[in-house]
Amino acid sequence: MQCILNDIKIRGIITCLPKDVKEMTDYISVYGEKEVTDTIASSGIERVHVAKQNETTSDLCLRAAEALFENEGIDKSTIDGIVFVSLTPDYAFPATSVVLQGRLGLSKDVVAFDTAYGCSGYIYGLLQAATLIGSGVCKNVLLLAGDTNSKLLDQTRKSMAMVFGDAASATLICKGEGILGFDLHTNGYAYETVINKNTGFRMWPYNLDKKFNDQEMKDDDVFSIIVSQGPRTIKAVLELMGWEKDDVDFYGLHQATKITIDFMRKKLRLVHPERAPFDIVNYGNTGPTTVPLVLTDFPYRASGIDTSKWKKVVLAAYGVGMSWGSVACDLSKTHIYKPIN
Amino acid sequence: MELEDFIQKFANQFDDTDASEIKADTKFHELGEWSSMLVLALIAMANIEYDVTLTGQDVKDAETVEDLFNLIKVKLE
Repeated sequence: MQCILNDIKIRGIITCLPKDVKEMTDYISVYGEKEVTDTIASSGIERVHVAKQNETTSDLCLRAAEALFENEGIDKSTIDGIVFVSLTPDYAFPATSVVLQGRLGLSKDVVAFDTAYGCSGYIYGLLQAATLIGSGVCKNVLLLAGDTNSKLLDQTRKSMAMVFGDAASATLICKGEGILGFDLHTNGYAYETVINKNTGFRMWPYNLDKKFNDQEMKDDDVFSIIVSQGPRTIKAVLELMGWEKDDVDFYGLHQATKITIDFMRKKLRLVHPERAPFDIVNYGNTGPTTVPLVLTDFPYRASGIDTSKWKKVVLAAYGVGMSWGSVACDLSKTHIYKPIN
Repeated sequence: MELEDFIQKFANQFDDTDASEIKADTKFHELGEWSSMLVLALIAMANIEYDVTLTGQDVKDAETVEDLFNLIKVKLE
């Protein structure tokens, strides 16, 4: 699917990280020093933020949204749509977006949707928010994307415990001056590549005594899909917009591990690879939050970054589904706030 | 696509293994440095250098460096 949507602007973005931090070196006692050192060297991830037992994705989204409202001086009654993107909702039902509408004190005229995507979720959430506005249904949509992976993933498995972290984001998308270009794809033929069979009803009742965080992930196949489709969707969105790859001011790429970012930079043959940064040394793979996190963290961490020059920005992400896609947008007038706790 | 050139690119993915240890008939899964991350590195290398997408199973099924070279060659045809 490709489309260009006009008269839509991304007004503000903020991210929220739980306060507690888990150092990857803490795993030396579990996996041994060499294994841990090698994993850190290849993943590039040194620590992750971890939610408390009673702290959910929606709690992090709530804090992010309230901070965004305050910073932007938003009259809450003007919000007329919520999109909550997560694999870690509060309940099987009702939708967490509905729960958040109440907790945020928003109008009962709000339309609220949950979208069950992981790493590719920010792209899907932006499309959903943009189409709500483009169709005339809404004027101001709050996109809340996040995950508490520490609860979703089996923390006794190294490939999960030492890669994934918790975080959430809030993005305000409004009617206004701006163009968003989208290129999105779905491959349900490979739906078992990353799957949790224990939280749905296909396997019922055989999954009643299974652990809900016991999912299956074919890491190598995920990477193969990223490798084959990631550069393709980026090139497609560039072509859609008539942009040259090296004219792009910033690439907000899904931050899975360092190897993924290194691959994208090489494959795209970027003349300015620093415009596609790896930025999860302190966060790990935070699912649908990695894209807004690199947008909000990198400008405050790196020197000399002026986001008012981000006229041509490409965001791209890939994950569970399988699903992948990219967005071309202008973030030069977007208010980008430093991550909060 | 030349075998010697492929062996060099293959060897470049390793940090601690001397390039002289890697030959066409090297059973690479038996190398001390072999790890799951090298599977990803080889998938990335094959895509960047030859525009061929390998699966994790492809890398697991290949016994020697030359097996992997031959597989990429077949995929290129």
